[in-house]
Amino acid sequence: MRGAPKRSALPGFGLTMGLTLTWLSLLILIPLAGLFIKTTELSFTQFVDTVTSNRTLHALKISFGLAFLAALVNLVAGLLIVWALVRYRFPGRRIFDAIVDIPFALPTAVAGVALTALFAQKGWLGAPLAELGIKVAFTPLGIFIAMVFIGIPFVVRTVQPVLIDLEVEIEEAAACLGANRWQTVTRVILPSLTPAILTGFALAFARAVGEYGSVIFIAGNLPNVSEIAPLLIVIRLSEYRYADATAIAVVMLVTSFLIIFVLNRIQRWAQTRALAVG
Amino acid sequence: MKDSPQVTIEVRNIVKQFGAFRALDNVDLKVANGELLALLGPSGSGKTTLLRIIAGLDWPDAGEVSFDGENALARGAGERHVGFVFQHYALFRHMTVFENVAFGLRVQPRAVRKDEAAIRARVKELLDLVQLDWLAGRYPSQLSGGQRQRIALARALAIEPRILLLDEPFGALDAKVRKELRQWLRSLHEEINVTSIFVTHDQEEALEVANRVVVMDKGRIEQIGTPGDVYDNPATAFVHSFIGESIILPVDVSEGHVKLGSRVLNVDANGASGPSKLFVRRHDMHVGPVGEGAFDGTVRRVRSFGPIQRADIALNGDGDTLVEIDAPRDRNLTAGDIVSLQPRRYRIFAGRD
Repeated sequence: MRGAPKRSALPGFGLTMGLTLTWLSLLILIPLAGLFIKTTELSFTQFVDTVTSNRTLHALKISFGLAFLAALVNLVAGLLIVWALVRYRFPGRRIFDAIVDIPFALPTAVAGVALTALFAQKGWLGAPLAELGIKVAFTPLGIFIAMVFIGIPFVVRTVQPVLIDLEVEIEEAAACLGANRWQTVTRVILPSLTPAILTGFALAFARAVGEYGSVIFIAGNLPNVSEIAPLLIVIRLSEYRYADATAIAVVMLVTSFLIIFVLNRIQRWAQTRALAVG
Repeated sequence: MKDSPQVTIEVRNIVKQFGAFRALDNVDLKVANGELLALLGPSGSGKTTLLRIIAGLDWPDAGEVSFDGENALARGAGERHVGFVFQHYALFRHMTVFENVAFGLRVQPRAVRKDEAAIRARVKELLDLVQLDWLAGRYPSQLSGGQRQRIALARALAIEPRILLLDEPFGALDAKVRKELRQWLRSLHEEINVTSIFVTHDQEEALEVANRVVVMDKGRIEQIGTPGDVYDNPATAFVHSFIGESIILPVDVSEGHVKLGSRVLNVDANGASGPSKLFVRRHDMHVGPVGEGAFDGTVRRVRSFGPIQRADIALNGDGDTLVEIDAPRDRNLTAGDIVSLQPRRYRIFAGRD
């Protein structure tokens, strides 16, 4: 029986692995490789000049900085929403639960138009805010709000199932041991949710970095003020400066990858603490 | 630990309703210092609800709970100094075993909190007590069920509880571990002597471990007594059928005569009257020659194991009634024998339901 394949209770490894690799290559790896290859049309100095130009740096700062802030806000707001949806029974709970998904489902352009109309100088919220001297539409603040809007479902949907599964007995045990409510939340509940919270944060952040549709309407897109990196890429493309566009894209790609990688490590670390094996 | 304060727990007229379901119906209970008490009953009998009310995890609709004469209902779970052990351990899975046990000491108000060295010493002492000091650095997911439950117990004891409450503590464990832990709980209780109440639906566990057993059914206490009492002198039909194996025969009692179908049995009515049930333990049914007992029957099937033989006997003249009895091995029975049966000990309780 030499050469006979190893028997397994779960056959199909070869087939599924092959399909997975092909699929991932076609959809992700090959296009990304193309991106890098295209960039090599630029000399190294050209590349550095492109990505360190004021306009590019500013756009990257706006995209990553605001996405990070928006993800932070979503983290806190998302946790509160999850808590309310999971722990309390109130009229309309299911409706609110469904509303959370709207930013997921809505075409981003629709969201952008809606937010712009709302926050424009004559909009329902824009007008009173303008009286207070706060301008939202066509400023970085507008970008930030759009990013918060599209990121909220990620935190809610990743943390929600974990909180539902968290046994009430854990909290009762903490209470019997004399922990007050604050101690129970900070020492028992939040640490149990940490891996899910980090995942939600990473997803919200990644989405906000890449967000285009909803942002460009409200951003105003002033170079060096409220221009996001994805838009700059589009502008370069429309100017037929393909290599410049891909250079910015490569920087975004690498930065995003590094950030997601670090978040992933932290999350892995938090998870092994919870489910420590060996 | 030896001088940890002990409490008399007193529960008076507790009523607890969940919607239309009455979980506890006027329950009274006193628990003496240092006692190891079992709350025994089928699921839905209210035993866990009673335990949770004592712990402060649930609140009764009416009635009183006091510890040493003090009203306990005025205090929350955290202020009652109660150690609670859950069926599914409820360990904090993001903390090591050590931190789990230390939790109760670390969350104390700053004014009374021990310093780090004292906390470490105390945790070490508790881990030694449950014989798991070598697991201090592990996480709960790395432990077996039995180990988890012992850590949960150590954690509950860390706050020097006035009472220890255990909710089906061995319910999630396999039979062998359950037996070991029973013995272990028994000897641990002798060592630390904290007033303890545990809930179980396993009669063997209750009878083997507890000093006293409280048998509950449908939100009421049916009987409170020593394990011997509840087994030998069941107070109600429920207790007789719930604890130990019983032969139960429907009888009619009129003018002191006990009738099974049309046949008058040679047994005493015990003061019952009307439609009743006759309860006999399997091993209390004496098998004799035909005509000498309360009823005659035909042996249908015999199995022998250990010191006994178990026989199915069909009662004569009453075709379908089959009783299962345990007879000593030396009383040779074979299928087809016609014998008589005489209950040596029996109880008759009025009512048929």
